[in-house]
This record gives sequence, C-alpha cells and structure tokens, in this order.
Amino acid sequence: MSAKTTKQTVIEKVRQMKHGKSGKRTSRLGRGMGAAQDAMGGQVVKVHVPRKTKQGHERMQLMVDPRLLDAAVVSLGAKTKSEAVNVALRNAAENAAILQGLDDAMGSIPDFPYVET
Amino acid sequence: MPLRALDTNGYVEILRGGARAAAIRAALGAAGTELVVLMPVIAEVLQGARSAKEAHTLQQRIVDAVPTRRRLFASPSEWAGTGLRVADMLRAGHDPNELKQRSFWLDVHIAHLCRSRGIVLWTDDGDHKRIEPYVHHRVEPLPTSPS
Repeated sequence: MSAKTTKQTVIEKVRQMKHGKSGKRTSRLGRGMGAAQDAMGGQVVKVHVPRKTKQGHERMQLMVDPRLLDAAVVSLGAKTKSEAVNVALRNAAENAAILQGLDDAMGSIPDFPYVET
Repeated sequence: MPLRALDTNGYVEILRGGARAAAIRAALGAAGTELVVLMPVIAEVLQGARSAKEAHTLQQRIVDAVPTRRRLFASPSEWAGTGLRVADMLRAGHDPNELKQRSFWLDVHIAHLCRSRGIVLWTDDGDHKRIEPYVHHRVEPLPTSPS
C-alpha cells in the first residue's frame, strides 16, 4: 500500500472541485446561482451537468417556480411534475412552430384573394 | 388552456400583411392560448392559390410548419354530426338555398368541429353568426388592434 503522490492528490482535488466530493458530476453554484437561490426562497439548488439516462435521453436539472409547477400539474392534468414540465414545453414548442409559419407567411402574398365557392 | 383556431379570413389577412395582420399575430402569440389548425379551413385558404408558386408558399407556411398533432380534422362521428346539424337547421327553417352553397355547408362543418373539440374560432365571417344559434360553437371576432 503506497501513499498518494503529490501529483495524484492535486488531480483528485481538481476533480472534486469540478465534480463534487462524492465523484458525482455536480457543478458548484456560480455567482448567478446565489441570486437564483435567494429567489427560490433559500432552497438549495444544484445544477447537474447533463447526463444520459439508461434510455439514452439527456437529463438536466432545471430551476422551476414551484407554485407555477403545482398549477401546471393541475391545469395540464399531468400525473407527475416531470410530465407537467414536458407537456408545457411541448405545448410551447408546438405553438412556436405555428407562429413561426405565420410569421413567414406574413405579407407574403399581398393580393391574396378571399375565395368562397 | 383554451384551444383557438383561425378561420379563413384570418389567414387571408396574414397573407396580405398590414396592421390588421399584425394585430392578429400579436393576439395569437398572447399567453394562455393553445393554437390549433383546422384542416377544413386550410382547404378553404388553398382554394385561393392562383399559381403553383403560391400553392407551394401556402403549403410550406401554413401546413408543413404546423406540428401534426395540431392539424385537426373531423373524426367519423364528427362528420356524421355535421350532417345532423345541417338536418337540424333545415327542420328549424334555415334557408335551404344557403345550405346548398358549399362554402356555407363547410362553415357548418367547421362550426361543428369547433363545438365538438371545445375550440374558440377567431373569425369575421358573418356565416358563423347565423350558424351559432344551431351549433352553439364559440366564436370571437378577429382582433383589430394590438392589445
């Protein structure tokens, strides 16, 4: 059993700074995160580096206003909070796609006729 | 969240551009509105294409851009329901000559689809005022100025 060399100790400390002591891929709170933490009522918020689930989906931890999330679960009829977030994001993305199409169509045929047959 | 759909005259305003189109676009982008696209309305809009180029433009911008889940068309029971609404209107004494017009009949179909799915229809088409007492769908006028 040999003692760790200085080089190994430095590498381990750098790794801990980057990923947390437990070795999990967890970043430390940055300056901006402090303000966000205050806005969340002092709740400790950790932001994880993206990681893959077993199914290969990328998973991230986001900050969400818990009051809005509770309201979304009810209004969207979601079973879980994750489902509510995903439904809300899908709705927003679908609306944005429709609006983008209308923006592209805006004024594109200035003399378009209104045909009723 | 309420579902909302534009009627044909709304699309025509947007294609032409101008202040009214900007007001409609602003209202569509307002929070709390989930947009859907009624394929019978799209069929009406496409009737106005005067060239292959215009048809291509319309296809790209008001059909292809729309996620499939948001393109709505009638189920078998909703087609049957449209026939029943027309029969109701005839029995109630509505002008049969108006119901003979394809555009008016298609408006009854659009109205029934909106009623069936809980969609608010944004339109300035006066036909919907005459259909509403029979079908009881929700109609709101197109916005005239940005809110």
